[in-house]
Amino acid sequence: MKLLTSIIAILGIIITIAFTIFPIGNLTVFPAIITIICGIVLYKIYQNENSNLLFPKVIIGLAILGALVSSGRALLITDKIAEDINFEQRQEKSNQESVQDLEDLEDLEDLE
Amino acid sequence: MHTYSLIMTIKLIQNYIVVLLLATTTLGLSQGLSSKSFKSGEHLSYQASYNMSGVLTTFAEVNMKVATVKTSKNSYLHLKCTANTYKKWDSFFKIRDLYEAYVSPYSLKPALYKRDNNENGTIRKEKYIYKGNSIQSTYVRGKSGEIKANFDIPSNTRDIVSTIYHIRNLPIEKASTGDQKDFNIVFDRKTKTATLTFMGTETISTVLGNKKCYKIGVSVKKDKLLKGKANNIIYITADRNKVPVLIKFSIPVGSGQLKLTKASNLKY
Repeated sequence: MKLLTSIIAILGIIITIAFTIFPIGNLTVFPAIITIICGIVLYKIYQNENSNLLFPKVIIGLAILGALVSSGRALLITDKIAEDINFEQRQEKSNQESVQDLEDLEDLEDLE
Repeated sequence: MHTYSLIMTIKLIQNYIVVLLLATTTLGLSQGLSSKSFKSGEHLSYQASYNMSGVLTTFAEVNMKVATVKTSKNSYLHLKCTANTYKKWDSFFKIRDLYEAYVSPYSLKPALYKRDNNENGTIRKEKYIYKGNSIQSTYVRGKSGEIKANFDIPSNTRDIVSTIYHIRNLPIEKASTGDQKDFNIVFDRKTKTATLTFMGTETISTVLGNKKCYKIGVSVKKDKLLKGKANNIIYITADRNKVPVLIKFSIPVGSGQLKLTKASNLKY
């Protein structure tokens, strides 16, 4: 029981951290909740065994932090595209080249 | 795992979102152009999302613009489609894709098609110059130099971008539920056959309000990504503007959607 819960808690915290790093919004809440539940179970087990409670505390703390960070980010960061001068220049260059290509094509059609 | 799938999927989606859109082209089974549904200056903006465990995660913005371009002898419609990942995704997978077509303002027949993709640093460029039933193409992939190739295409084959707009000029309203139509599109210097199925109408909530939409299923023959018509659906407003408002797609690594978020300078 203790081993299984610990494995699930560790996997849960890895997924929570990974999801917190990637900007995938509220989805982080699901692994975080599972991790917190496992953390609470582990806390009780460790308490009954009179063991050091650091591990379950860290697990619960990290999961709560991950859930808060990603939820906060999902609320505060809006979907915006960055201003990209290079991309704008590419588009402008493409416009100019296209006009030239079309004129060349027209000249060729006139010749034919 | 989901995140990995998402990143892998983004590139696939970029290539096939447009295929989904274009696939509706010839559904108005009686051929021929009806009155035009768009005008120069129109701007449509879409939000692309990917479904992760039932939660839609937004990752990119797709913009479609129409402009008029004049040469010394002619006028053309410049149809431009750009795809940008959102700022929050740029550090993980940055996409800056440009697809454009120059078409006759009267027949919408394409004269020039260009593709300039930058997907996380991977460059892919293509240029097609239409000459009757053949295409003079120039392409660059990765660090390879410019390669020129000519190839033949079946008549009425169009590139992705001009097809997207061509669809909006077709009389979809005359199609009956269950009607199917095959058509050819040229993509990656290959001609593909797509099948469209008219699945009736449905009223959906859009940024333009509650709109009655034509529901069109899309599948591409011999294509692993867009197989089932029921999973790839395009909703086009059943009005004179025929705006694609929602595109649902399903691919082997997941599903997602493209939703209209902004529409300006609509013709009607």
